[in-house]
Amino acid sequence: MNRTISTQNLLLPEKPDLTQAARYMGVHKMDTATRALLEGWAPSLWEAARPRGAWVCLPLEELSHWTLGKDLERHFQNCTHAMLAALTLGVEVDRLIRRLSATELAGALAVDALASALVEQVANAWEKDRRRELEGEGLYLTGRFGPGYGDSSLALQGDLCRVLDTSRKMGLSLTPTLLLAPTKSTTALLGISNIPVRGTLAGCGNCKLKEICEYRKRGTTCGVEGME
Amino acid sequence: MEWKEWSDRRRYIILDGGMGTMLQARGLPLGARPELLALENPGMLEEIHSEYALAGADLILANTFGASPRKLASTGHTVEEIVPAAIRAARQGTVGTGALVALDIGPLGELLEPAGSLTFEEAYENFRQVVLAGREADAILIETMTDLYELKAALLAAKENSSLPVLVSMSFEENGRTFTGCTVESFGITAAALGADGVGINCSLGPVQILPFARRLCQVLPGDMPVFIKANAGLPRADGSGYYVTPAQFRDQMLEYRDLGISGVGGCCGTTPEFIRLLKESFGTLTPARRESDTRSWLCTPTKAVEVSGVTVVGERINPTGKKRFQQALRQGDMDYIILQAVEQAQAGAQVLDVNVGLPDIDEPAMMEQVVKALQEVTDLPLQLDSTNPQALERGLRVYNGRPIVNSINGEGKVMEAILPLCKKYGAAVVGLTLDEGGIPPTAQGRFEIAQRMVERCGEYGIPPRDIYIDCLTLTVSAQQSQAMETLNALERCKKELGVRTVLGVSNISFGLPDRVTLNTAFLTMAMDRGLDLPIINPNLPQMMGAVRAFRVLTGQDPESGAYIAAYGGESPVAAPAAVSGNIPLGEAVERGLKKEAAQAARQALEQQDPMDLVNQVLIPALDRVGDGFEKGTIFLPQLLQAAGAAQAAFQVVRDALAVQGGGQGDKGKIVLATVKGDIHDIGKNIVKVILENYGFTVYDLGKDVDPRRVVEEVQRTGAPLVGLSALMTTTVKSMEETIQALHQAGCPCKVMVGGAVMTPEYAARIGADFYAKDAKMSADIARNLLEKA
Repeated sequence: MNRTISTQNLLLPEKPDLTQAARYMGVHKMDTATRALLEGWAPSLWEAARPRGAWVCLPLEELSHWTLGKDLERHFQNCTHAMLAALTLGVEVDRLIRRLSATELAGALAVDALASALVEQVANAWEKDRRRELEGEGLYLTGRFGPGYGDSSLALQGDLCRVLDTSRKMGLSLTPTLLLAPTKSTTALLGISNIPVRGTLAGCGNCKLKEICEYRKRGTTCGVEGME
Repeated sequence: MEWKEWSDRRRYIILDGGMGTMLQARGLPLGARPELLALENPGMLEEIHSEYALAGADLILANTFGASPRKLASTGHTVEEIVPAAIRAARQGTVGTGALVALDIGPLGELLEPAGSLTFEEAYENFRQVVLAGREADAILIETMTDLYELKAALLAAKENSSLPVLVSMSFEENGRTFTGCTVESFGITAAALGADGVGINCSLGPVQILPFARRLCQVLPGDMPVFIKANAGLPRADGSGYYVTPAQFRDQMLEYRDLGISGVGGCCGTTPEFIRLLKESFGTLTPARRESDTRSWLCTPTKAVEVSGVTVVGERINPTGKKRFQQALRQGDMDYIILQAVEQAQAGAQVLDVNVGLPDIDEPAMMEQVVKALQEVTDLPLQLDSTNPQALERGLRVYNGRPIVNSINGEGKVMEAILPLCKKYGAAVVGLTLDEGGIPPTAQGRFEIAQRMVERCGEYGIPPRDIYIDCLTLTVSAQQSQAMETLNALERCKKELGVRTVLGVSNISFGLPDRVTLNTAFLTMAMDRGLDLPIINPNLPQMMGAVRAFRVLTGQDPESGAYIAAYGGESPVAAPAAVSGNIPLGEAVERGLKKEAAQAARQALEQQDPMDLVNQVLIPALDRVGDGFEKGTIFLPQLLQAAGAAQAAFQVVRDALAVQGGGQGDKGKIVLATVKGDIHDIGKNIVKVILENYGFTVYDLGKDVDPRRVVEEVQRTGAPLVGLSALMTTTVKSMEETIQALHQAGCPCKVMVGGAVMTPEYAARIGADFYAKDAKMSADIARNLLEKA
């Protein structure tokens, strides 16, 4: 398995994910006003976004000195390799949201939500491509596990960005408080195995957000609602 | 090599190739910190440097790319240990070859504000430490930059803390922009203006892809500026298994650069000593081509370069003179109001924005810095920093990202002595007013002579005529009728005889006369015909922009009338009636989220109603109805915000009315808002701000990533009885607690409300907050309970 970092510009999906974007705005049942607002702002986002990704496959033992946490270790069960990935929509999206925050707050909120949904869309498409490639080699890929999810530490994000050289390869960096900048970005760890694997969701038991989780309050989980 | 060979440009200077490539081939694991090798394995570095020097490289980059305090922070080693050791290794590797050694400075690996949380000043300080630690090098090379602002911080740090030559290089993507959107032109213009000793492009792409960018770069530079290229070995293979281009192909592709007038060649990722050997073999016998100097006058921001050619409109609205509402915004630090002025003028067709923040009772230098930073977050138009205060100008120039105009100098010796060195150092174009100790000369001849003197003095500072914008001064025609023509005569002579551009504040002509726009438009048209380049006008007046657009058509500056048609082609010949929607009552307009209609309705209502009555009897009840719906779940955040936007538009009208009355601002109390230190997500805080303002509170918004001390200072300065803090992440809630503690320790009697995605009522209580606000509506309820009843 090749262990050099791949970097690529990624395609924008044809359509925005309005349902997910509405959900990010706190609207759980789409209404015409929300739909109109989102549809009105999507073209500006599509113009600003320049999705780019970097990823690499490493033997799991190279992560042996990382603090993965129990949930991530379980996620990697039966895997030989880890795929580390970082994706970003680029700095122009943040700039658009900032500009709108001063002049068109509803627009800022709409673009913010659409962009969060777009990160997911781009990541899903990226993951599908990687899965197809690996399956061509007779290998299997788990789902994406994000640093900070379950009992894992957000600090993993620092290791991941350094390995992927994200600042140089895609203009993505971390703030000292471990936030990604540009903000509309994501990082993930996936397991690779030669037997079919799906990875394991962390579940709510260890989750740091379990007390305040909006999903739980609605009687569901992010595993059901957010990752479908 | 001798360093003067670099600036002589008589032969090609060969730079070295990839370092990471060589280290990985020697087994350096991914994600390891190559800088530590200077201490752990200097022999390996020496060997690589030696291979490059023997291959023919004249300039070797020490292995200091990531040796900044921030990147080394977690390694247990300091810049002062690593950098000198790395330079020693490079020196050792070049023994006997005659090659020189450069201190290599790469990006800090964190995004600068506003995209990230690193301030310009922190970036400068990081680079300063590296520069000081690298004083044993022969030159400084700042490379692989993708953010023009970070490049400026590094270049200033290098120039201010060392006398070594400084070369700068950025990395571009296939679209001709860096990751942060910086254009090739903006890079070249800014780097040259700031006094770089060489300008280049490196990394990211191969020679084939960089070639067109190198051509564009050469076109905006002085002819004697050395240009260098360090390309990657082509593009990386899609499967990540390395690079496409062989050493021989690389050499052949680089030979295509021969006619461009570059004078330095080397390699970046994927290149090895063999690449450099072939470059030396081919370029060693060639002479760099001559390059014509760019004679255009450029202004820029990172994303936009504006050539001052033909009529270039300068918007005049960011100026408190005679504007009560603007003065109020400055005193309150209300950046959003100022930003709004910028956005409106940009939409109306301004190409440059004049920025004047002078008021007798404010700290103008600090305000200039704050406003420049705020404006460049949202506008891509170059700024014209307008002040007579050298400190204010310097603060603005220092943090300005790109190439601005300084407005202004005049013929007085001491003014020129104070301001021209700043223009030179920060690379600004400069406005020269044709007046001096003796006042404004009454004749064109007198003004021309002052202009001539200013051009000479600018020349002594190395500022060429094309970057001097002479203002022959508009006098009021109602008071001195003959002066209008003197101004125009002087303007025409300066333009024709001095090689300068001309600028004129137009509106002053009509002071004291009725229907000022008619006179202004006529005077503007006459001035443009005489050669006015930069009219300073209110672009929001359709007649003024109309005159400019028409002039461009009639003088052939607008090819095929394209811009004119774009501006007016969609308009129906009959003036569109604006009144149809004016009949919607204010309350309804707010509830339906109709901005224009709300502003219009407010204007109408104010004809009969007191502004504060309008707020209390109409605006707030409408907002309450929307707020109730939100609470009950019958309407959602988007509609709440649209209603808030409409209320905001109405409120602007009310505030203007109140400012004119000279009374208060309908102040229902002061609230300080901030997104806490370390957190860069501030949309939630922005929503809260608008809602609070809609309820008539005066909000002092400190922005995001705000230091606890800043919050304390602002509370002490304003005496605000309520502070709102926002934090989105679990990692930044800690800063929230620190901010609350700082407020308590400083003895501030204010109450604190907190909110944000990860906040809970229990957690809020635990960190010492007085209130927990679940959403924007609840923050408004808390404020009303606390402040209105007090």
